[in-house]
Amino acid sequence: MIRRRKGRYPGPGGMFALSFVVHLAIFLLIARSQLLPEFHPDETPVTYVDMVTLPVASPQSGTPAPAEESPPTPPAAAAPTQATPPAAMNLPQSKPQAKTQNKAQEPAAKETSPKPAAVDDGREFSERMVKLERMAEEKRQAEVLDRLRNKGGRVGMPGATGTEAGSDYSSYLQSRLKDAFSQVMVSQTKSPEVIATISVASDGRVSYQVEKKSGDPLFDDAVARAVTLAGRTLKPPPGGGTYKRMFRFRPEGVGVR
Amino acid sequence: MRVLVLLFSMLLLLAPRLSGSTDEGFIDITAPASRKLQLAIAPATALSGPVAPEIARELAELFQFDLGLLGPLTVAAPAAGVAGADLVLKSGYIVTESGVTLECRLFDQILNRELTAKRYTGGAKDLRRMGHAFADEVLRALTGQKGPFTGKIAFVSKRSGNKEIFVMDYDGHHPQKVTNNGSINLKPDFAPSGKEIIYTSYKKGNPDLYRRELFTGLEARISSRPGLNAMGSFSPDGSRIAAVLTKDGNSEIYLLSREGKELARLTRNSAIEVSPAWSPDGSRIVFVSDRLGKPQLFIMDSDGSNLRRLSTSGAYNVTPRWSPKGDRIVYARQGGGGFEIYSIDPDGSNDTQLTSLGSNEHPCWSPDGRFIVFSSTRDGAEAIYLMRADGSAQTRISRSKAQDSHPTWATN
Repeated sequence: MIRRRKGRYPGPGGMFALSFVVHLAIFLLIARSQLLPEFHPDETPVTYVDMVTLPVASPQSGTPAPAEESPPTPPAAAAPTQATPPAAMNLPQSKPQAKTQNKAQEPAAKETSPKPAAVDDGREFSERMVKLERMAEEKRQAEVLDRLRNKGGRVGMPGATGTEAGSDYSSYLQSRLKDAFSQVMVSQTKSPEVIATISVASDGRVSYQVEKKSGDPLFDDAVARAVTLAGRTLKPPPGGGTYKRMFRFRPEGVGVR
Repeated sequence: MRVLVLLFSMLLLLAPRLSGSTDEGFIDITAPASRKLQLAIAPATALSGPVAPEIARELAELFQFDLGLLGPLTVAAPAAGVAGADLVLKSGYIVTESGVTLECRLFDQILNRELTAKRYTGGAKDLRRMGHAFADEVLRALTGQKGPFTGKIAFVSKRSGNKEIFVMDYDGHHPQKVTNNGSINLKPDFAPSGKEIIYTSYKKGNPDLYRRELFTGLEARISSRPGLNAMGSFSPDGSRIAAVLTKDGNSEIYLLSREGKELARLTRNSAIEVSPAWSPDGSRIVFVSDRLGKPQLFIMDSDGSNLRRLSTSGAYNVTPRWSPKGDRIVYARQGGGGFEIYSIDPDGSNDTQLTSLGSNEHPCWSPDGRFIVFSSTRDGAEAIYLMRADGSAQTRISRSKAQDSHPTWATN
């Protein structure tokens, strides 16, 4: 006699729940591998690299200069027709101009005389505000730079997995190769393509190995020239390591010739 | 069932990844395709002996013309200097009583290496041939392909008063008269060796077919059958000649041996069939027939079988020539009061107009298929021109004011 172990069967609802959990788990596994951002070679993340390496613009640019630092304006009598648009349009500068005009008209002894309280208060206030703004901006920049310096992982281009050392170096090398390739590009066939592994030694020396020729000797030689040209000014990979990656060289456009 | 659905959904999700897997791992480097290689020509210098500025000037002009025609090169004159150029062509010469020695080198300034170097020795009159030979060598070094610059062009000219066969360098220099019979001589065609030609001449009254050795001047009348014996075309191996004969009352295409013996009759039709031209592998022949009312291009196997129509556009298509690579057929189409040159794929696709100025006829390929030589009336009298296979760089090469036509380019 066979005994059925009815207690183990969870029923239709239980089976549905079990199925749902299993499907959800599989879906999450697939989604993790498929939907997370991944490096795509077609992206051109050069902008990010350049933004880091280029000097940050002065936070003071565009803000009105303090009255003391403004160059002395010539007396109004000396150049009555000369217009100074910033002075006419910018309220904070109108007061120092008036002061300069007074200076020109009055003797030097009058310089030591106390100024009107309202003018002095306004000037001090604007100076303090400028100083505070400058300090806040400097602090913000320092924090950003500190964050970038201490960031161990995702320092690569937008959308990159960015955990490997040298993910930025790929962008740098791509940029240098693209510049060099534009200078030496030539082909005599419609859509040639060369695939080459490019290695950069820790001292910055470049070597390359062609994995797939294009069948167009002119184009193959152009790739060789591009690598040579880029290698002349190439910086070594970061951290004293070496770099190796496959590159694909093509003319721009489809059916280009 | 559920397992199947699950597998299907997994496949759907993985599909994009699988299809894009070939691109994975590459970083793309692209550049505009319109750029050309910059070649600088350094002034030729005397390696020893007397200085000859005329040699330096002639070599510079020759290299500029030859290499500038190629297409992928921009050639700078010696005065422009060599700085910034990708390639530099340097040459030196030695002039002696017995002749000239020419030494030429091609450098890659970026890769910092010499690509090729040659030394030529010959008489003073051979200087241009030496220059053309090095232009061929430059092309070989850059592309691995043999150049056409040392090849000769045979053509029909009235510069001596009546239609005689002449041969000249590909750039129009050194024209030499081949026939001098005071009659009408037409439609020359080079043997694959480049050492002999066949042509039609009326010098004995009837349009007969002649074969002539260029260097010895020996000549044989290979077909003097009643009626027309014309439009001879050597097969690629040089063993057979396709020609048009009217001995049977109608213009038909026949196969002849080199000696003129009839091997086969390829067409048998009440229409007019003319202008046979071989495919580079010798397996097919393109020709003109008006069997459908107007002259059109047809292709048949070299035994006359497997006939099919090639051209479907234009009412009057004539003088086809198959490219040495076998990928294109060039021909002339009548329209608008004159002829224009077109090229078409052997399957009838990509029919493309190449010329538009004046009336342009008798196209013929260079031995490497880079250029097409043709005759044109764009400057008045019919003259010889050449252009790249895509129709660009159309350049006049014949220098006579007399009528020049029917050019054909020999292998060198």
